[in-house]
Amino acid sequence: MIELGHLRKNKSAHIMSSHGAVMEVAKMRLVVVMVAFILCFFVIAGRLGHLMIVMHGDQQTVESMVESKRRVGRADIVDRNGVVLATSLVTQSLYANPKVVVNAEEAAKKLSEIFSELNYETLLTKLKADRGFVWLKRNLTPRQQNLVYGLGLPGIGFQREEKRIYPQAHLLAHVIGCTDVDSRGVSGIEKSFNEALTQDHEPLQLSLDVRVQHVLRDEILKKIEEFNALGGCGIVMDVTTGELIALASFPDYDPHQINGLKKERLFNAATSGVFEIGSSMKILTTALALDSGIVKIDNRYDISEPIRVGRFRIKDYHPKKMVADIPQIFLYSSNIGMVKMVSDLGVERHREYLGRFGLFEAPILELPEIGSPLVPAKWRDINSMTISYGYGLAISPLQIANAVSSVVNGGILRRPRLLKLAENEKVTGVRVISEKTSQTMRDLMRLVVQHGTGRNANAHGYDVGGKTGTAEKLSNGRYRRENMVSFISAFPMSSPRYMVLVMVDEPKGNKASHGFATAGWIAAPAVKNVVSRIAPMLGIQPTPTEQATSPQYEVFKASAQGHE
Amino acid sequence: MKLTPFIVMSLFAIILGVVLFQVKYRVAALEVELGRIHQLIHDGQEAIKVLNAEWSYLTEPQRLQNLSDKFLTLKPMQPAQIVSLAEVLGVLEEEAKVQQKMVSHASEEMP
Repeated sequence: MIELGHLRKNKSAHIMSSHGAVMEVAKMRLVVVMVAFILCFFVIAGRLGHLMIVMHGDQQTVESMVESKRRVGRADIVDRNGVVLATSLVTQSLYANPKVVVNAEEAAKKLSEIFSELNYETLLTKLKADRGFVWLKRNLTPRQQNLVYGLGLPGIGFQREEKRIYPQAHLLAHVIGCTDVDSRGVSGIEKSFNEALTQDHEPLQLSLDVRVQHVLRDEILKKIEEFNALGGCGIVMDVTTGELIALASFPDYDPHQINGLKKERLFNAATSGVFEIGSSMKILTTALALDSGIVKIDNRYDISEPIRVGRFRIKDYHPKKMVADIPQIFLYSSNIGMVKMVSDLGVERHREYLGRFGLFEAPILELPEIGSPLVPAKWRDINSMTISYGYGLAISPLQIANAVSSVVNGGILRRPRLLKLAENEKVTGVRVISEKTSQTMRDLMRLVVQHGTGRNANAHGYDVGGKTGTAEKLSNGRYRRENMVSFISAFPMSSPRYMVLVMVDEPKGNKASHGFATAGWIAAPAVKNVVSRIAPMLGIQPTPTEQATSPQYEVFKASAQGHE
Repeated sequence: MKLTPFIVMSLFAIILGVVLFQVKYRVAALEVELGRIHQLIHDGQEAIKVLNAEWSYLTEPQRLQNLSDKFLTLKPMQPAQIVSLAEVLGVLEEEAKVQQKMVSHASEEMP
């Protein structure tokens, strides 16, 4: 018992002691594990807290995700009031993988039934082609897509694509241009801003106004139809900023259907075409002659006899047997008077001034279709003489429009632009003529509309001033009877804000024009209609009728009427 | 007694675990929601584009002019239809004077 007890005691002591050691070890391990776990949980808790408190929501990421979703496709083009001129819409295009197509004959037959414009044979060759991918039809309508879905043909699929849509169709075709089937700009703004339109996602805002553009188009088209003309063009420009408000050229086209169109239809006459501008040039000639100080407003020139230069004979369209002062020469649009003025000025000075107006180099505009002027290689007396009344120098309508804008706006030449001016953007310009000359020119232009060849352009209440230009067209080295008629005007003349140019190519005179195919009968009435329709839109306050522009105007008027 | 820290720790761990899972599920649910909203925004934007294009097409000036010629008798505005605010105020003033005169005239006659 004792032994046993001893033994037991011994054993229990042994056990007790070994038990204690084991417990120690176990405890240690437990502590280690617990510490490890606690550390882990602290890390997790810390991370949780970090996520919930520090980075909660992370709004920036959300916004940028929305942004990136939005960044699909080519940016829109809008007019100055935000009207959509070009936009990209998502459509589905149909393709086939000929290697997977099971029954090409059946597929071709069924597809040609859905798409009337695709014929069976072409479809069949496409579907049997030894390739992995062929386009069958680009830009399906949702209905067509549904029909094809319904066929359940193997090896035929849809690819999400973009299609460029021009909701205004013809209206701005020449300016906006168009894109090819892969959405790359091929002409107009679409081409010149191709990079920006694909990279930047804000709509591109132009300076054009669709309402004004429509009026210009409507009125010019009416004249083209009425006088059976070949085409024409028109420009409305803000003379204080150089922004183009409307830019039209005819014939125009539907930008959705450019395949198979003749080149002439895609030709933007207003910017690419260069013409001998005719009498409209006399605005510049008179302005530069007066500005040089060499010719004074009351200088008198004998305009009764035609001028002979070699084999040329320069005569007047409305001959007057008189010794005329400058307002009379301008009013009667006397070629002889103009020639005498630039002869007094000298070739060099004349040329230098025309250069200042930017007539010798292609104008800078946000369009790829810009025509370069045709300038005589050698500049002799005879060149200066003919250029003084608008022959022998071919410039684009845009160039003359911009030059005349500088004449009426106080003498500052600005760069024409198609992008809308930002709110705080300042436009720069160079002075080409003095403020005083500009004022005189406004009075002279007003005189032409009140009492001269531009009477048909007198839009009552809007104080229009301008100059007619009827130029014979040159073909194969001879001047033909066909005319290019134009009217260049600005309004209101007391403080010009807008320049309006209308040109009609080869009109045929009819009863309404008393058989005349001249600017005064064709282009001037168009300008009158354009001005009376757009002035209220553009917020031009009508002035009481027949208010004089300036005291000087009354003097001009008296001298001009004194002779009649 | 020795168990107390262990129990406290386990409770803490359990609570953390539960919270973690809940947060995780909420995040997952929110992500699904976010994706859905993105899709909605995208669809909305595409629909806006289509509608804008359609609006521009329907308000194309030539179309409006044709419709106006067909259904309305509107004509381009004439300068005589536009008057300045000063003129309007002048007319109102005249009107007021006439009214006043009539009133004073009437009140003189009344008694």
